[in-house]
Amino acid sequence: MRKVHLLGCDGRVDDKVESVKIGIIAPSPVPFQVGGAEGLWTGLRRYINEHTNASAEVVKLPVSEATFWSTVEGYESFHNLDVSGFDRVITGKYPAWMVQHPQHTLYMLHPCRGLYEFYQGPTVLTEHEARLPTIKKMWDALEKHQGDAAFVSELFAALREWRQRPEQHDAIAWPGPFARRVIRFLDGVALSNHRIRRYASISNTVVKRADYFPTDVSIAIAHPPASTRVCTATADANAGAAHRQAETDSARRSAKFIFSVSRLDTNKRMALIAESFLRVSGEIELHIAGVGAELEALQTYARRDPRIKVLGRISNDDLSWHYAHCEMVVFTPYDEDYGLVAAEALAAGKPLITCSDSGGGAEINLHQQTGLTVEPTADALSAAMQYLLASPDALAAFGKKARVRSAEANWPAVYQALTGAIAPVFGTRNARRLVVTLSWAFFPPLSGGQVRVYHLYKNLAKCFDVAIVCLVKSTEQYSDVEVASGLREIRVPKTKHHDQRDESAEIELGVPVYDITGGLYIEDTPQFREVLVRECTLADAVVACHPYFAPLLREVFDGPLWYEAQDVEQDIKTQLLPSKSRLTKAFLEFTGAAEKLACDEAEHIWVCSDADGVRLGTLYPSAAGKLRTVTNGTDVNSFRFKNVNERIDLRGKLLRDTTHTFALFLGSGHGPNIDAVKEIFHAAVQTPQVIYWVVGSVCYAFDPLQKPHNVWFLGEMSETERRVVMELASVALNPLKSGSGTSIKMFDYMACGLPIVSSAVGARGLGLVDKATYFACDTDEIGTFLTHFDSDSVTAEAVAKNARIHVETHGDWATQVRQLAYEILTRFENVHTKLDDFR
Amino acid sequence: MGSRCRKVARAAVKIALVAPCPTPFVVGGAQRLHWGWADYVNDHTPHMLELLQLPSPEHDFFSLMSSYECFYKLDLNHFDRVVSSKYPAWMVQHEDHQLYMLHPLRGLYDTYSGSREMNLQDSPFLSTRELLALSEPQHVLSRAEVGGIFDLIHRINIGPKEERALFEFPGYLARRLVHSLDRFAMSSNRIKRFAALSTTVRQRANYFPVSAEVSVIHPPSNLSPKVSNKMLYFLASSRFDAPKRMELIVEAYKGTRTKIPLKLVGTGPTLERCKMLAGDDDRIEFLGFVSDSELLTLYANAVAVIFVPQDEDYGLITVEAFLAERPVITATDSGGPCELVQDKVNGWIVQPTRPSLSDAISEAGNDIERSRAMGVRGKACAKSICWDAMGEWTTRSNQ
Repeated sequence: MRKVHLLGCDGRVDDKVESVKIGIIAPSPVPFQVGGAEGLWTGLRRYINEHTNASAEVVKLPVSEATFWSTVEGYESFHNLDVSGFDRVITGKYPAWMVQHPQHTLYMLHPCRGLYEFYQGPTVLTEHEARLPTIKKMWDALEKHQGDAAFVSELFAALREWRQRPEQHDAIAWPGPFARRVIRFLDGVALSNHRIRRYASISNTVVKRADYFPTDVSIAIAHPPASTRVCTATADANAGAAHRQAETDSARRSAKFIFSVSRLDTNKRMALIAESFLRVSGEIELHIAGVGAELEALQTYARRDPRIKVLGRISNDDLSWHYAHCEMVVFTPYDEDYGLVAAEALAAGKPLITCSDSGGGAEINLHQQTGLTVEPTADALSAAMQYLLASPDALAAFGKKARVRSAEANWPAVYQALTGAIAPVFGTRNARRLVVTLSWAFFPPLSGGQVRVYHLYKNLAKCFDVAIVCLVKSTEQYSDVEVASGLREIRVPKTKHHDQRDESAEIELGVPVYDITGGLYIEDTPQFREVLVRECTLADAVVACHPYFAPLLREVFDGPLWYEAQDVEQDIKTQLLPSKSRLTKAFLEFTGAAEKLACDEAEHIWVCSDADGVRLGTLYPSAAGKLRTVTNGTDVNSFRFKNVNERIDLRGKLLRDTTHTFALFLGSGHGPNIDAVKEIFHAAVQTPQVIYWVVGSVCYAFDPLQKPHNVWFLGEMSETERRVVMELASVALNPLKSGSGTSIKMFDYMACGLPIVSSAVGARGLGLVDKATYFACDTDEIGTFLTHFDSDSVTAEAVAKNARIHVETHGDWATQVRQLAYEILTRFENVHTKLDDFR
Repeated sequence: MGSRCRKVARAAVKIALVAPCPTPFVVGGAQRLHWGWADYVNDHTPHMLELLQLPSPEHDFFSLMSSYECFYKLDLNHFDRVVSSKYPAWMVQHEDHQLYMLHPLRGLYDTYSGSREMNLQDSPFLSTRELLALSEPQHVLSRAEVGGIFDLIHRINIGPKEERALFEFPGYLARRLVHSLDRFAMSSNRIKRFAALSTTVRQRANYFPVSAEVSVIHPPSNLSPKVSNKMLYFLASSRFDAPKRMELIVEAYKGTRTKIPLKLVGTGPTLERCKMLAGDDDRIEFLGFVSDSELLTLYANAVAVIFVPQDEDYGLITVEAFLAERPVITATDSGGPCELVQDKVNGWIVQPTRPSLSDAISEAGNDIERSRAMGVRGKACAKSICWDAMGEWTTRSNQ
């Protein structure tokens, strides 16, 4: 699917093939002012038109909220608006969500807040209203018809009729109980799950507000990215603007300043910032931009302290200049829905000071990481400003982290939450195809290797069509199944003969060698080659996952080949295969040759750890310069962070035990894990107050009668069961002495908030720091350590929180692969340009 | 600097750019123009511009009229200024209304080919006869009369089917009423300032009131061009429909002996015919759809861009080719492109005939270095077209 460019202004149209037409429906405020919503809708429209196959336009109707009548009129005009020209509509605000469409997505900003959480008036009719029979009648009818969409037209008709009668014109208090009931009735109809197909929200703060959403609907949270006004306003400025920029730059390049910008309403508390700033000492200015009711008050502050500059309304160019050049941004509104200013500060890489009750602003600001979140008092705020001004290191570190945090809110994520469609990371989805070979089936993903394959390619499938061709046992059937959006698992069964040769080799060698025999004897299963040839005809690139099929891939496909090295196979197989056997030599030769070919031929080599990369580079010099580490990760957002109190609660409910400490060890029956469990036995004897849970096939390596009574063998568990255990435990152990690669389970612990006690080997390659993101402990010291360890302590909780943030940035598959996909796609763009030249 | 900003704050103008949103929705040139325009004003000036686009169905006469009425009744008095660029959005009522003409409903203006007369004096339908009387040619409607017209149309719409059938679309009555409403919309006492996107548009018959003073402001392209050293082929990129005269390009090219290939981009109803005309000439290649970024590369590596439409409004292709430093071959009756191309300076302006076009193509191909130099001169011309002029016109103070 491709789009064609529109060249003229004469009403010709793009022929965007099969494009989904999305209408973003919104109110235009009367009197007109530019708020956060305007930037949000423009940004979303731009992203959809430039980066997806869909096309989008913003449709707005002016709405005045001056009176009850004008507001109702707004509801009615959206109710009657014909949006049938779109395939899907997105709304985020009242009264626009009154619009009727079968594919309606709600991206909740807020309802009329004065009738929800800010409403403080009476909830029964005022005396005056109650005396009017029509109002009384409608009041009761609204009660009776709650959620009844059929009643909407009747209501509008009745209200329109009353409005004609002058004596009732001013009868309805605004805000007031009757108005509140009418508007909330209309919202109730509009937002019911009969009308809305998908629910999303700009922040968790908004999701948590009472009565905003119907109960029992699932709501996706998608933080909108900072508007492009910060990031691009200067970048794409034309010559004139650039000139102005240079001019102002030189005029301004002097004083350091703290920046704040907002509409100057009371609940933005801009005066609080000015008040706090009076107590900040030093050569620093405070620049406040924006207009609104508090402008006068701020100007009074400016007269008291000449370091305070009140700028009024400024252009986006000016705004981005201020973000770029300030020391920090202070943003302290009360219970803000989201706080675009906070997002913009992070995007500009500036530390942010917010208040604990700032709602969405506080939600995206990470205390002590991207800035500070403090009590909403002048004392606390001035202390925070002073502290940051005095610590240039913190300023720099916070600023750096701010950018990282900011990248987590991005349009692809928002688009996906709103439409459910796979959002292209970059550019238009052109359905480029990757074909991958694998020696085993990976779905459902259970083992570490399967989990890696599943997550890596599932995420790549967001911008490629990925087909993984797997060789499976002869007892299985051929199948071709889309196991995740854009990701196919094609299973090709071996022939009986192929299977028999594999089995006899395994018997002779005493270890499973199906990966080697799969590649070495592949001519025994001609179907595998046939399927591969078929899939490769449409491929843009092929990936050898493990080296064993690399020779075959090179035979059938002469385009780009990439190598995903899950291990250093030569080393592993040398260790694994018995040196005595006559087969060993041939097998090792094949392994080495396949691995060498993969490294020689590949354009890119993806490895699990830097160490693997170094080793591959030593064995095969051709690998150098092509290596890229793609560490394992987890699906962080599928884990809910459980804090200490939630864990204790849950243990009370499920185990009726809130006194013991529960230490969890998870492992398969590999040697290093067996050794770890032996260490746990020693520790268990020393620490009777701790109950040790051992989960996974490692249990089967022991005689249960020989274990200490406080070690419980829970055996193999499903993913769901494992998650329950991880939510119940107090601490996770990983006392490994040896082993290679990084363990994915560590990411799971971090994601769900379980503090980790691990040996250095167990934590290797994860970028963890002792006492910051985990607790380091030698394998034979576990018992001693746990004797003095309080898993409910503030320290443990802080470490768990840091670990979660660490895993969000470093251990999330989606984040990792997005970066990888970007690099790959950039490469394709280049290829394309080259192709054009030769056309 | 504080004082500088305060000065700016006082001058901020709130502007509504009001436009129709096509139903069913498609991204067209007008959309892109409006987006670029709004972004420029909001990002690079202290003023605020709200882009208000209402769904405007026009699948028949009555839906078109309800779109006209919808804009007529739209209350935008909370803005300091309203700018409109297309029918029916220019019906909006505002004291400070500026009009930047893209085009009226062309099917009822310059491309109208239906009947220009209809005898309805003896029609049995009273409402239609009243409409006829109100929409007298040359007569400029009063506001009361506009209200009357909409009332009559409502009545006809719910009236007998035979009466509704008189309102063919496009047809005599539709044309007469749309002209009448547009004449009202554009009456000089309603519009503070007129502009058009090209001289070609400004000069079209009946587009503007006779007395109107119309300035011309060429809009820039939103694309950022690529520049390359290579000059590998001739390029023509257009929708394949009759007014674009792609067949003429194919035929003229076939008449040359140049070894430089011709690439044709786009699709449309005349594509098949063009392919047939190209026959087995392996110098000619049809690329179909290409993306924006591919198109930019194509411009950059061309020898020259051939663009010979008939009476084009404007033709951003010319600007984009120039930005890529490539000369443009166009025709004397092509309209918009002739406003930017200077013959033998930054391109060629030829008679729209096969031999003349063949000559120009051969000339461009025979002396590549000369073509390159012409392209560089084109760039100077294209660079003078930027948003600044649009922005200045939009936000200009009335004092």
